[in-house]
Amino acid sequence: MNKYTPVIGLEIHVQLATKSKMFSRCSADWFGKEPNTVVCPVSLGLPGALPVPNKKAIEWAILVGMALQCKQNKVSKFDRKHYFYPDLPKGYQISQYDQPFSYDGMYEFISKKSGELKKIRIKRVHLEEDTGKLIHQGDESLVDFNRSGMPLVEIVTEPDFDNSDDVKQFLEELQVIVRSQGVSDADMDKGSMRLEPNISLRKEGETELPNYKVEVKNINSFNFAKRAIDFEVKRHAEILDRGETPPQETRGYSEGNSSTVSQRIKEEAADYRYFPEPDIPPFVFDDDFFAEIKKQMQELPHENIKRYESLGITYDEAYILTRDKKVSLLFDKLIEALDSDLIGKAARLVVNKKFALTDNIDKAVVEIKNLLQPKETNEDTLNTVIDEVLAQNSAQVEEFKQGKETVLMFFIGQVMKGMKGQADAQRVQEVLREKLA
Amino acid sequence: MNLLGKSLTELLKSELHSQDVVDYFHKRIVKYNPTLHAFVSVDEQSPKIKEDRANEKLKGLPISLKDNIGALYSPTTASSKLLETYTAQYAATITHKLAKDGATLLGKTNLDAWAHGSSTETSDFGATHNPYNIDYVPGGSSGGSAAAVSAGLIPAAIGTETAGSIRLPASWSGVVGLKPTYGRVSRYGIVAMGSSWDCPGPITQTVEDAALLLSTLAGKDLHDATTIDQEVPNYVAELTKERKMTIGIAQEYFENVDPEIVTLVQQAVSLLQKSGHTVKKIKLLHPKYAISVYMLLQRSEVSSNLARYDGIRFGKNRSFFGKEAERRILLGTYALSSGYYDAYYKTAQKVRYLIRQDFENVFNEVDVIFAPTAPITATKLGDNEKFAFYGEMMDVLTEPAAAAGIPAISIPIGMHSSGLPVGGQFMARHFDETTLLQVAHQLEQLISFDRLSVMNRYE
Amino acid sequence: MSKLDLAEIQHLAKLSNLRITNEEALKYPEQLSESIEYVKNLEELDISSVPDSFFTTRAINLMEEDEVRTSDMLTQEQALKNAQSTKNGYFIVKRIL
Repeated sequence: MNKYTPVIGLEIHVQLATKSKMFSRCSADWFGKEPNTVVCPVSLGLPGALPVPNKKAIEWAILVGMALQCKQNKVSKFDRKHYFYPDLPKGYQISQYDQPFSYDGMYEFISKKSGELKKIRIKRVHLEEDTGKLIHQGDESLVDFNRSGMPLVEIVTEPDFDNSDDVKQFLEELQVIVRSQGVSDADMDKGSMRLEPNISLRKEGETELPNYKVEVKNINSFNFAKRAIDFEVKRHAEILDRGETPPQETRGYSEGNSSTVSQRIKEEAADYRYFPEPDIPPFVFDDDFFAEIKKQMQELPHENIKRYESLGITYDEAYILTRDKKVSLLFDKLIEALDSDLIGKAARLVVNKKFALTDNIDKAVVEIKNLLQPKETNEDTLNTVIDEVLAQNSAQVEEFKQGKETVLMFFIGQVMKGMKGQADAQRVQEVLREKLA
Repeated sequence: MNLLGKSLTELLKSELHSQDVVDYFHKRIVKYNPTLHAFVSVDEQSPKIKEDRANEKLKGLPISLKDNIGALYSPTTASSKLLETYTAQYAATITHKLAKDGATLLGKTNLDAWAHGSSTETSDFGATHNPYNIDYVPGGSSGGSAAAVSAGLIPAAIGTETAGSIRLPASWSGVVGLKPTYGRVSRYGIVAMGSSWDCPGPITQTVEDAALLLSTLAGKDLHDATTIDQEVPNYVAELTKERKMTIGIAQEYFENVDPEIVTLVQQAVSLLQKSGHTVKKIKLLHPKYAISVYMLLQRSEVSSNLARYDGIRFGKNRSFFGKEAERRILLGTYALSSGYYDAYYKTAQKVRYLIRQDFENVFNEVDVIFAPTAPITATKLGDNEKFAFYGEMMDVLTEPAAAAGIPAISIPIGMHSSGLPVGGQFMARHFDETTLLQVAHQLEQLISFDRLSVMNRYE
Repeated sequence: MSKLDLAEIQHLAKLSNLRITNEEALKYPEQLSESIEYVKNLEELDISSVPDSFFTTRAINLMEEDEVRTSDMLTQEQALKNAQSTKNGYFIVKRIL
């Protein structure tokens, strides 16, 4: 049995939350609407329709590139990408080919799985339009163009991942980044975030890229992404062990049995016949333009974490607090209202769900002070309750004496119950330890 | 009532009731279209002028549109069987502008299918005939528009030009045809052919009418990102300014041109000189390169622009494309396909850059360029099969200006011994239609071409 | 720049979603090859110092503010109006495999 290292790259699409579509001022509020009711001549690719770019979509696409530390192309343009499919009304998609808005970026994160610092190179971040939707019914396909023309940001990574857990973590963090900027709700369920991993294996120790790769489509959640990758890794290993090479192809993820199924063999690279979109003038951006976009950037999650750490919050707690912008914004308000020495503790309370953070900051401050205040503990009652608890749980006392520290938590819980919550946890612990010694 | 030969401007100045004018031309169309086949569709009943239109600039007077221009709920077929059943779900910007300025849209005119042609013979609905001799073609692709104006079936019409499609039929049918600067007039709502070439423009009896209609058509459009935000001058007011110019003549545009045409052009030059203009010899890149550029780039864009016709949302399926459309699609696909892109598409774009640069340099020496519009007069119906590159050969002298995106106008400058009209063209700087119209207007006055005789044959 | 043959034509037809009959396919290679021959004259020109150029005007940075223009939108009825086959508001197409 050979040992292999997975080589995984990602292609992610994020649908932008603009008011109008990418190349027309048709409404972008398409989700859940009756078929073909959120359309215009451009969305339908009617004869004579022409594309007019959405400024906000371009700014936000560049913003995402900046958030991923990409370089920005001063000169860029849109290109036509040709292929035929019923949900692609013009027979070509307006996308970007050789001059994308952003390229050569990097994303660093601490792998939860290994604790290592991972560096994922971002190949490019570009902007394109979405297709309509196809629904299969019997021997017919139904086509709805409501989604046609929505702005999509495409993020492509280099194949720098070597395990599915890191992929999942990256996706979660990317989702947080995108949401933190308010440019998309990046919802896998709604399809406003989509992903296609490409997977191959190489022999452990080898540095060259494998001579094949398999693309997987139809993945609707981060969990499914992990399962799909795990399935593929196993499948490739079996084939490679036989001395064969897995065919280069596109496969579809099948939720039912967490497997992938072959969709079509890629005989040759598709010839998309890219050429510059003649209906849209090119872009020549200057530093001022980019500076204006940079100004629009909201604090990024990793910057947020650093800021919280400097205020005395632990990395892990800061990580949790920064997963949802709504939460961190509220927490920021709390920070302003609290004494600085209470911030770290307040963070712990929020993270441990000891109290719910709402808009009412004054109330929150009071509640926190209350929770953090050492409780008036009736020493006599405490001693009685502790004695009772220890007496009733002699087995656990033995376990503790044998070195099982975690039992302490159990005792504390029982004591607090007996005290009806009216005890300072710190004091309870102190007395317990004394009595257990 | 006899309105033959009355230009749009004259009709506007007259005391005539616009509804009478509309009815008059509607009647003529119904009567003579079976002979000339200039129109592919016209309302059975003469359209009633909309109340609010009568007080606008064009007072409800009738204008025809080439059938690749979208008019709301009107058939817009591009003379193709594939779009035979298509009625536009939205109006083209220029249709909207004309309506806003008070025009009454009367009928859609014939073209080579998808505007792929120079004779209007390759229309899927039958050829248009040249009013000067019905055995001959009117030129194309805007042949229907030109024939309609030439025969007096409509006072003025709107056509489109990708490379010669307004000027060639104008010159072969004895009328005025103006191709504006690319980006001067919106393409929104017009069946796309060559995205970086297509220019809608007026086909009229007089230069004055062309100026009048251009002022309605021109302007930046929110729906077309390639229209330029450049002020629209008052073309009509500027028209009669007595300006003397330097006119450039390039020998390259006289090669392989019918000697009678050359003579007529020289006579026109002589008239211009006598009236005070300066004539200067200039050198220009040979027009043959523009043919290659056009062939490669236009076919590439066509193969792309025709990709949307799959019969799902409108029209019929792709088997309804004619041979010419198929050929162009195949060649365009080839030029864009991987491995060939650099050699063909990219190279053609670079030569296009040279052509534009060539004109811009020359316009440092001269104000306008004058040349024959076409190397020969109208061909006989069916003769297009005899030429290997019929369209390209007929459009050789119009393709360079189209490649560069500069404005150009063709006006009748005389008659050929064959009984067919001859056109001469002026070319000017980008967005300098003012100069173009001024000098064309002056030449028009000097020549005094008889446009009425041919109309009287259809009386 | 080789001469186009039948196989090439069929390949181009596939790329362009066109179905070419064998009869037509016979004539196309010659016709298309003629065009390819003609455009060779571009090689006569020196384009070594010409920058990459893809646009007819000198316009740049054309972008529109992100606002909805309802007057541009179509109703479902208008959208479906020209289709040969529709059902329950959808366009219908034979099942794509």
